[in-house]
Amino acid sequence: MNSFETRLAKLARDGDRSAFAELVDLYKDKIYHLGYRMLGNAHEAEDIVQETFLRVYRSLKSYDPSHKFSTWIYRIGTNLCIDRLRKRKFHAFSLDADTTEDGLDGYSMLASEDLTPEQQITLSETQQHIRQAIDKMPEKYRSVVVLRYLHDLSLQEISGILGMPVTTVKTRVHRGREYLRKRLDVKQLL
Amino acid sequence: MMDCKEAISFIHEYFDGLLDDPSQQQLKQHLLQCADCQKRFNELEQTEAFLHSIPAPPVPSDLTYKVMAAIPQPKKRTAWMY
Repeated sequence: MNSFETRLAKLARDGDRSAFAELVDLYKDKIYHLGYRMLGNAHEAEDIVQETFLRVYRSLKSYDPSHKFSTWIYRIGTNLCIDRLRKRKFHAFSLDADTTEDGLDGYSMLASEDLTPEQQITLSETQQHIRQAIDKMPEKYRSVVVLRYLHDLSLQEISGILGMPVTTVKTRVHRGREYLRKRLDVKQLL
Repeated sequence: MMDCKEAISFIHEYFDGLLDDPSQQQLKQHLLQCADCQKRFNELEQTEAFLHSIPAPPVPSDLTYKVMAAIPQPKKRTAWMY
């Protein structure tokens, strides 16, 4: 595969900083959105962008140009998000297992509150409802739903990103969809 | 005649964009006769629409700059003059 991005990656690998800056420009929004939807707040989304590009930069030498650059960078970003979610869960259980009746730990409460007043205004009630439903989704469904719906990626590409068979991705999309259907209580929102 | 279990799996294939025309016709027949599956179909359709309607969060404008500032500077090559 010899796409524009692959060429940029090769140039960056050989020390061309402006080529790397171009890759950052192309992907920063996508990775920021990924982090934001996976982790639920702006601060961690920015951390994910920083960590992803740092890792991409350090791994350019091992990047295989026969694979799509987008799959590679999404894989790095998604794995970083999943690591954080797992650590959160571990902390919630081991340190401050102060669970509310909703089954939420302090971290996920924090995550869904982190909106500026301007952002809160622009999100409709329905949209907030969906956001909260996604924030509460189990991680294994959340990653496929975020990649599928908020990034419009194909089942094949998600399979490449998550390193699992397409059939597994499909099952998770189906379950994620059912989870949200029940959670959204569609009638109430109409 | 299709049963509900099969219909549900067809419904998901439909939303994946992978259900071929003859199967869509079969599903349609089932939905016409099964209120539960029709209800589920409508709810999932609405869920899909909601998911697609979520706006993208605003990205900080100085993000590229910040990322590039954190990327290690290449080692300066010594220019050997002869």
